[in-house]
Amino acid sequence: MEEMRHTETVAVRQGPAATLEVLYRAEYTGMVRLAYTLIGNNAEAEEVVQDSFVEVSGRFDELDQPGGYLRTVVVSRCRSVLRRRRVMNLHPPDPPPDLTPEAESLWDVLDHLPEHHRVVVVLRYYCGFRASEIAKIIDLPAATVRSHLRRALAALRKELSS
Amino acid sequence: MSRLEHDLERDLRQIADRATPSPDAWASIQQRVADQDPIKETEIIMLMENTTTRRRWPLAAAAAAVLALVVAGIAFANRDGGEESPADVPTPTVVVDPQPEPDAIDAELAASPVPPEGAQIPPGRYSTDAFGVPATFEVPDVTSEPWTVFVDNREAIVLGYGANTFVAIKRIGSFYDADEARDPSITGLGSIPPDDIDRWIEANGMSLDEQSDVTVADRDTKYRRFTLPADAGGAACPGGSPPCLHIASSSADQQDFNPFPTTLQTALPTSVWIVELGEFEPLGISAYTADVDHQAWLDDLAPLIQSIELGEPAPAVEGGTARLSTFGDAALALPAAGQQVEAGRYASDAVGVPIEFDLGDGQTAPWTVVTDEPGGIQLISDETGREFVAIGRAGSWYDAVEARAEDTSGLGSIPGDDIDGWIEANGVIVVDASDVEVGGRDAKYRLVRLDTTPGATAEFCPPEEVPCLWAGSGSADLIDDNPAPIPFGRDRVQALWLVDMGEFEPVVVFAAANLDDDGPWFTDVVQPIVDSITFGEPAPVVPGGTARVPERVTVSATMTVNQTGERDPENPWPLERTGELTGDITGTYTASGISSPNSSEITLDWTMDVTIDGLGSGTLTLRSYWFWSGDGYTTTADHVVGGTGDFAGWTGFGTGVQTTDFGFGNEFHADIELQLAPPAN
Repeated sequence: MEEMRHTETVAVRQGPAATLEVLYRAEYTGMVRLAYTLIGNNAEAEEVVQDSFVEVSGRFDELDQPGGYLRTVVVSRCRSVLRRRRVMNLHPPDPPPDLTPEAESLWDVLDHLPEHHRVVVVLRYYCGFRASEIAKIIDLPAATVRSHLRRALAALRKELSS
Repeated sequence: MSRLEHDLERDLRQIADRATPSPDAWASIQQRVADQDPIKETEIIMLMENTTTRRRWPLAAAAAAVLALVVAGIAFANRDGGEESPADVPTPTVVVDPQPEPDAIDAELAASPVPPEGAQIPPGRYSTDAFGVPATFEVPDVTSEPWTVFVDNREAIVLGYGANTFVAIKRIGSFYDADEARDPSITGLGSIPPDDIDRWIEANGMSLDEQSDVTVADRDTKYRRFTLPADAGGAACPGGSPPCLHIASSSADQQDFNPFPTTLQTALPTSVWIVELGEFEPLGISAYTADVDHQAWLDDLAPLIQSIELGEPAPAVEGGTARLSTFGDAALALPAAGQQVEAGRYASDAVGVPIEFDLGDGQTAPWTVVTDEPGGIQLISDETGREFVAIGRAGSWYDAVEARAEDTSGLGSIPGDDIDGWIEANGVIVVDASDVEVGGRDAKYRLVRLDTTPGATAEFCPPEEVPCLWAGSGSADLIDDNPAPIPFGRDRVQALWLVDMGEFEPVVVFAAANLDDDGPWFTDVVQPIVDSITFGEPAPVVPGGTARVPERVTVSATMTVNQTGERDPENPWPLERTGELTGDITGTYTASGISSPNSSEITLDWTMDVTIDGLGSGTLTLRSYWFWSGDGYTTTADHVVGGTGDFAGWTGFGTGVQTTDFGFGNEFHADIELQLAPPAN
């Protein structure tokens, strides 16, 4: 969480002189980690983030906060991946072998959450964003985000305790 | 932060750390940026210009024109001479395999998302979630002309080749009767149910060329091929030449998105399939062509139709409320959570009892749907984002201890029809109260606010919402699926209407203002909504649900406390006390109490080992809650929180009148009265 916010600040501080490469150096690793946490597949996460960089490159000069826009694009593309999996009934990725039992349980439960619940949980508890900030990223009212968070937590509490 | 949230942060970080970003990703990105086609960039710019307000109408008209040409479906016609109908060919079913074999994975991966509008779509298998129901289909390699995606949005897909062949797939919210079908300005739902295309054909004087009951995607399907007579009249096409009729609306859950009806424009044949999706709106498929033979077009489409696979039936949008059972009177189904909803009349079966209500235009801003799911709906006003109206089923209310628990889930100990029990148990301040009617049914109206005295409320709500209580649970029939309790927060006035549903759990309408003193909002906005509510027949929140409002019995007894010995003034807790009961209730009891460290809150449990005339024997545990309000302790009603023997699962509460002086070491008497209810199930 701290790392992501710090790197975004670095990118924003570059101001007009910022380049895509500066953005890449500041954000790439953090964005891949975010995408991986959302969709659980490293190859897909890298593809999503690289696609997002390509998309950002086309609008780079007109963006006030390219880091923020990049994150929004990454989250949006990850949501598309999750929806595509649901539509196509694809088998979710297996967890990496070295997770603790608690993290592995969370991995399994996340796969069963509705896509919008998984997204708000990751943005809240991995990235550390408040509901109002999440609302801007995924373009929903803050009250809806809070509702999603509450229900997601209730589901996680139930599933993780069983 | 709770333990769960702490663990989430820890475990999500661990998962994120397992990502392995490629060290040469920068080179890949650079290459891909360099490879971007400059022509595509130009196209993107042009499309962006097209989305400006200045050009919105021409775009909308163009979209309507496409829909006007396309409208409803794909046709499968039986040929003369006994040739096999494409619809009679067995279609594959959707395979949901949690551990798919490698070949199955390959087959699924081979389905690509439908390309964006305007793109060519090569032969192959494609997937879409545009219809709410997961779907895949095959674009056949039957023509030398390229197939094109004419429309691909959140409610419809339209494909075709050349300039005048169209196949459209979308959910059908309703069909239009004769007047509606000829109204150029019609929007919204029509008056004919979406599964009754035959009524549309009859109502509009169509020439029915062919009909059959077939199977598409392994689901019952009505196939109809018809022609609009040249003398049918009607000029409903936006900018088109008559005769022209509207056929059908979009899904009731999509009314906010696409108000344009689908339209039949010429005297040429149209084929429509209505694919049944159980309780939900059907999927409509239509086929039309203006420049080739209709049957030839159907022949080309046959492989596509045969290849359609559908997932489990579902609303057109996630969490959508449109159901065949709620169709009628042009009431709209609420859009999905997160969507805005304008003034109008809406129908919902989210609470089990069919319900309709008006969202008036008493305020300037529209509403947004926050929750729309089995068990309840909630709307917030976009005026400030704070006012809300919610409708649900009251499964139970929480007593004073439950209401202040940080992690409450499950049923409370106060029956769902006992709003006054909840008020009394929690020291809630009643601003106004009356017995009224809502939708022709008895209802209790209570305008209340929380006591903001320290200790009177908890602080577990989000920071901007403290102080806060859990008010109660949803329906007992959904308590496992939706365990989150109902928060009752902020020091502002809130209104509740508890509507009697007979033997079933009551419906509760719940509204909160933006400000503490906002009477006009309740009067001008909320009250008209409540006044407009109509109900269907009382029913459980889910079909076959077992939750019922319990019938109560009232019993009374005299309690004699035999406290012996002085309590240690330095260490008075935990409190232990014993006593006897006489009257309708006979037996003994033990009282045990605990206190918060500063004695600001005291919880006292009275466990009675009793026999009650006519009811049986066992134990009943009543709990009372006391909090320090500055000038003394305030107590709430005693509520049943447990039972054994014949009283297992019972709920209820007790009130008492002390008849002698109460004091440590003194014997005292009190007359108590218990209202007891057996388990709801």
